[in-house]
Amino acid sequence: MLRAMVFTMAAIMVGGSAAAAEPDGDPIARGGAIYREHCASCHGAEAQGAPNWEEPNAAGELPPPPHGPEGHTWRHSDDELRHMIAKGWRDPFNRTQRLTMPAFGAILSDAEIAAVIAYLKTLWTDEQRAFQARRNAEKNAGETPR
Amino acid sequence: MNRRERTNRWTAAARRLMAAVMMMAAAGASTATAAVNDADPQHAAFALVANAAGTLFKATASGLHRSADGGITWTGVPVPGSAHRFLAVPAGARDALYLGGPGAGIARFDLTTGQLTDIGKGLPNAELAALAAHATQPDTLYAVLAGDGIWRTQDAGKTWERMDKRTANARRLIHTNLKGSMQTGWLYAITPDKIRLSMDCFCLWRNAGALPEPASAIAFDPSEPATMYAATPEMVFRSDDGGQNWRRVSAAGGGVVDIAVTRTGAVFVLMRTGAVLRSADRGATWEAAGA
Ligand code: HEC
Repeated sequence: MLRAMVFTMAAIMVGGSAAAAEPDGDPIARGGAIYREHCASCHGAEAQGAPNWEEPNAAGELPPPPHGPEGHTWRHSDDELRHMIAKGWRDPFNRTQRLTMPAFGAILSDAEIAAVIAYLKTLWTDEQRAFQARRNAEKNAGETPR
Repeated sequence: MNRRERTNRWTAAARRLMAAVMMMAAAGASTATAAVNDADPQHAAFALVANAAGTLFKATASGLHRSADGGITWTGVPVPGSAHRFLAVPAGARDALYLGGPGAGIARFDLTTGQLTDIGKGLPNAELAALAAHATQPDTLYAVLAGDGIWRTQDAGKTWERMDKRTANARRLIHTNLKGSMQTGWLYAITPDKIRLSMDCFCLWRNAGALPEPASAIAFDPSEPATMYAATPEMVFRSDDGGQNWRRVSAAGGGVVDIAVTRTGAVFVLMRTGAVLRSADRGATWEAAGA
């Protein structure tokens, strides 16, 4: 609850300052630009993911997944997405220990992470957006990944 | 399958079972042959679970049975209706079970009052193919509807949501609290050809390690979730890495239909005949527990 409030306040503050800084500070457009700069190299220009992304590669690591309807990004609450982008992530069954999904917490601001998430949401179907909105509403939504 | 083939199958199963019993006797294990020599399909067995107190419950063609002494003695538990082939224990519960079956939907059974409550009204149909309780959240339950997908409730059946259309062919499903999930645990599904697993965000289903034959049962050790057991009709396997690699631990023989592991690590298998075998050494040796 507290987290949710803090986040909402942060979002409002950020929204306000960004709008002041950029005349046409559309978070989705900003998110798209951030995506092309920081994410597309791995997840693909069209967010199509790496080839054979559903199987571990030769190194025993899961490749970058797509972010569109065929992927599973839409199955995560905003909290989980923020956490993975800020802190990085690796599948626990990967044979290596490195964070294959790099941590962007020191590179992107909270507002930039929020913007890139807003952009990812444009890649989903209406049904997927509705599913993801229900994930944000449920009781586990505030639980950070382990 | 015609009647003759079926009879032959049962006869073959009975023979295998006898062999297993004999094998155990040869190994010096205590046996209860009377309990396992009846391979009549009338006595078909479906599901075995252990609750937090170590009490075992089994569902067979003759109904629900309970054992509070590690499977040595069993008593019938009267439940209205008879089509309950699937059992699941609400996390931590000692006085309740989830019951379900193909065509029968899902109910919560209160063991203290004997009351059966239909909790599947929010599902589109009653064609239940598998049922799994969440490992740590008592009100969270997963239901596979045949050909449709996996549904989840987080409020003990008041509301259901379809989480996944994939893995609609699962015929067994379990939830474990193996660490490393993005959410609260992992789901393992037995599909016709493979064991598949996904974090409980239903993100990515991947294959578990392969078994030589399709699996008939799967379970995990609640005190050490990386330790898992799986059975093919002939063999019992153990994994110490969350299902990535399986090692054959014994030939239980004669048709394992379900596996249950207690909090103390005792492993029980339910045979097609309704007999229950027990292993105190992580599956290496078995002794007949009772029927
Ligand atoms: C160096 C390559 C790389 C870069 C750059 C990268 N990612 Fe990833 N990302 C990955 C890999 C690999 C995974 C899969 C990790 C796993 O599950 O083991 C992943 C997973 C994810 C996931 C989780 C998807 C899911 O449903 O599990 C999200 C969300 C994500 N990335 C977003 C981003 C965003 C946003 C950016 C840019 C800010 C980004 N990634 C940049 C490699 C990368």
